[in-house]
Amino acid sequence: MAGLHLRNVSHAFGDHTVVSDVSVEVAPGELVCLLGPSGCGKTTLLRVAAGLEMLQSGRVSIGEEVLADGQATRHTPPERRGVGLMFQDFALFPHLNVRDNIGFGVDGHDIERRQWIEEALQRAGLGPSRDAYPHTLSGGQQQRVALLRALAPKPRVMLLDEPFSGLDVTRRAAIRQQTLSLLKETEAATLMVTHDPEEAMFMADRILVMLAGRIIQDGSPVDVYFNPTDGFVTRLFGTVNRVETTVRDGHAETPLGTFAAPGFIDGTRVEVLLRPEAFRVLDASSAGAPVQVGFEPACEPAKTRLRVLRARPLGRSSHVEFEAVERGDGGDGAGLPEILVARIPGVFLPEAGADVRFAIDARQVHIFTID
Amino acid sequence: MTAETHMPTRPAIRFGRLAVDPWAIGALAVAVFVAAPLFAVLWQALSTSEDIWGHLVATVLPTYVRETLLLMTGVGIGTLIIGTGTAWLVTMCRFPGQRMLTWALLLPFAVPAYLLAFVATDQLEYAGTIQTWLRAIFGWQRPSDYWFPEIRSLGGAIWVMTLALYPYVYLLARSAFLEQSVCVLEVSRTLGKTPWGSFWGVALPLARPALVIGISLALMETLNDFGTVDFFAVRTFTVGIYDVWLNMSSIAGAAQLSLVLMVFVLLLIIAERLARRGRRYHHTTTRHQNLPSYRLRGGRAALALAACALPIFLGFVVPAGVLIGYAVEFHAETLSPRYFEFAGNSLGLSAFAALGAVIVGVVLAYAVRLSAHPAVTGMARFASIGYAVPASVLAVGVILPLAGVDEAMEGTTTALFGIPAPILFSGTVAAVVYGYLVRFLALSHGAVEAGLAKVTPSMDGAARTLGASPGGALGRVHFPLIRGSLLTAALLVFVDCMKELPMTLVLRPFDFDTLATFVYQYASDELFEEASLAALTIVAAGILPVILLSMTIVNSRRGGT
Repeated sequence: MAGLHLRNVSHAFGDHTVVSDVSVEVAPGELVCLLGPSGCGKTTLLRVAAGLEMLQSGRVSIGEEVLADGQATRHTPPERRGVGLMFQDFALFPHLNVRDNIGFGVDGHDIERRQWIEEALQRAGLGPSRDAYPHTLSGGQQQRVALLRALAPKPRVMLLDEPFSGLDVTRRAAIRQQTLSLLKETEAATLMVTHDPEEAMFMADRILVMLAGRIIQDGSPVDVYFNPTDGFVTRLFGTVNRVETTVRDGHAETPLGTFAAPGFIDGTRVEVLLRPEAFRVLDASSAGAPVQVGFEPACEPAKTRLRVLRARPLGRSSHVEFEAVERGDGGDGAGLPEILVARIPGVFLPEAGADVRFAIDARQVHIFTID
Repeated sequence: MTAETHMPTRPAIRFGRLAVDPWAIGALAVAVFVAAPLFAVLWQALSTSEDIWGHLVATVLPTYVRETLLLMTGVGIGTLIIGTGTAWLVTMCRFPGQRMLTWALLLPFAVPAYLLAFVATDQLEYAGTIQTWLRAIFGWQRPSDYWFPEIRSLGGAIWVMTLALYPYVYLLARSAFLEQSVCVLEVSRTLGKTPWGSFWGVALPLARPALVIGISLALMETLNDFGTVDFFAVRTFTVGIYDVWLNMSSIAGAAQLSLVLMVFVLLLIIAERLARRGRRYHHTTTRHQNLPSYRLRGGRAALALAACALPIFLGFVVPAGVLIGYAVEFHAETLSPRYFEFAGNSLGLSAFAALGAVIVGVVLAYAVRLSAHPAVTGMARFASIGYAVPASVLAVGVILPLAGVDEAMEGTTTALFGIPAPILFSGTVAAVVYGYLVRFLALSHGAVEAGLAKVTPSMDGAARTLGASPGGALGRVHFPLIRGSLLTAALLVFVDCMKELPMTLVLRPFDFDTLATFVYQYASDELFEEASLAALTIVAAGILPVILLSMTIVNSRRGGT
């Protein structure tokens, strides 16, 4: 069955290597996200897959069909690859109306696909706008037109380059949902590029985290969140609280608690990264906080009391900053950062100066060797 | 992602099993096509066995060098003063008529220098209107009774060309002043400089690269001119090349003179390129929306108005007025079947060359867009140097390869069929069009390139992934989007071909005239009045690009600057 296969792809612009030895497999019907900061080479990889960038080394194939190989003896031009590409800026043709934009890649005599376009226009709520020109459409409508245009020729592979970054934040969630269901209807292998971890978590069956031209983690959204391979992947989902310590008896002891560190040799210097979501409030000594979170088995009461510096409501959660007041047994003097950041679900707004006791959810604590 | 280079990097020319990119081949063909005349001149100049060079150095060369340098110096200073002065006044000062002047100052672009020379001579020579008038007023009888400057001289040529070419400097100076940040000028004022001091101390040094570009362009045109210097009997290189070639029948000598002339051109190109490079570093801030406007009143306003109106008056109003007057007065002679025949020739040739230049320009610009390969970019750059090559040099260069092709074809057909092939290229319309294409390709290429630059590369990507071939994407996406630029490109080339004199004069078929050659011959025979309608037609065509330029100027002001 067709699917997208990129094998050992490397790419450089002049002396600057942007992709080094990357392999990606996307099965038909699967949605894979390339997640990484800008400049990590993910868009280049997408363009190599589409054939817009000449493959320099490696191999690109769809199913059994080799589209390009690094020997430069074969390069199927983009128009003969059967690949749909959706651009970050949508790249709608400004001189064509909605229907002609969507129908650009479809043969005028192809009745089945013409029919599909008509139905898709209706379902996407674009029926009344079929004769409108792109500049008159809202961002969300433009995004839908771009998506339908890429899907109309029934591509074997769909490539999406930051498909939601051009949209208003408030409309993003709904459009993501629509896009996902449209993509899932097709049997296309979809490779999507994004720098937004939340987007990747929502859309992807599998996430490939890219950094500096390499894939540093390949896993399901759950994997990537709960078993990040290194500090970079951990930090993708936001700031973390970092404590340095040394492993003793298979454990990393910190002022905030002692965490199992399996697989580390005793005496290894490690960084312990605690996500803000790892904090569970046990009680707040001073008033103002009606909090008692259910005690989860993975949670361990921390040894240190913390004093609130600042608390802000963020909507679904509250952002709280603490400083340590009383040191627990800090092991070998491992220092806490001056400010600790916690993300508490719901409304939790203790006054500044309040003392709080809490537990740590060990699943949200990640330990890595310090080089 | 990195460097956001969304330009596809497809190797242009590859010799593997993969087919070679036809667009790159097209660019290569264009480059060869443009290079042929230049290399022909080079080869002819260096390979000849006759000792023409020694003869040239001993006789005419010093004169050519001196007169050419004097002409360039004069025109350089003249265009600098008029172009910069008027640009400063209309950009930085507010006075009655200032808005209209911003575009009216371009009007002299519509009158080719040689036409201005004919009109000036017609008015200022001994039998001309001005001297006749003076004699009537003061009762002078003979030339010895009074002194009057001789228009048909080096000084006259400098005046005429300055008036015809200052808009180059004006345009670039104006855009440079517009780009200058208001902050630096205001800082200069707060630091105690007068407006005049700010001009000398800040605005002018900042605009220097733009001025160098403008003067380089004006001087390239000066080197290109034939009609004016020939008519005024100024012995510059252009005249010399034709003299050696046509009167002394030495094409090798003409080629050698061309080579020396190309050294001058090369220096100008280098000056221009260096200035363009320097330009980038001159903007310290991006705030330049509101220009300081020195409001002029009373006498100063009148002075500014007069200073700006004078070049327009001399460079456009007078020649156009004189031509209209003659055309009406001598309508019986001017509205002849000959006029229509020559107008038809001019239109046909120019339209054909314009179409060709746009097609070739598209091939070049699109090949560069498809492939960022340095070889293709280099070829495109090279192909645009025709504009800097003086028409006299190109004429020599076009004759040589075409004659070669004709000879080869004749030999082939004689060998194969026993009959010589008809002469297809040299001395035919094809030669004229070839010359036009080489010389004006830069115009169409530039316009097409500017148009394509406004189409985001993701359009190409979208069209290609949706199944369009490179040619299909060009037809279905790019052409509709750059229609305006294509029209501009065609118009620019068309009008320059209508005005073109020196190449047409030597490359045209026997007994074939365009409006320009017709006017030139009649003016030389002191029958200028009878060619006035033809001259007026050239001016009318020349107004079209001026309108186009004016609209960009007006639009740019509306855009906030």
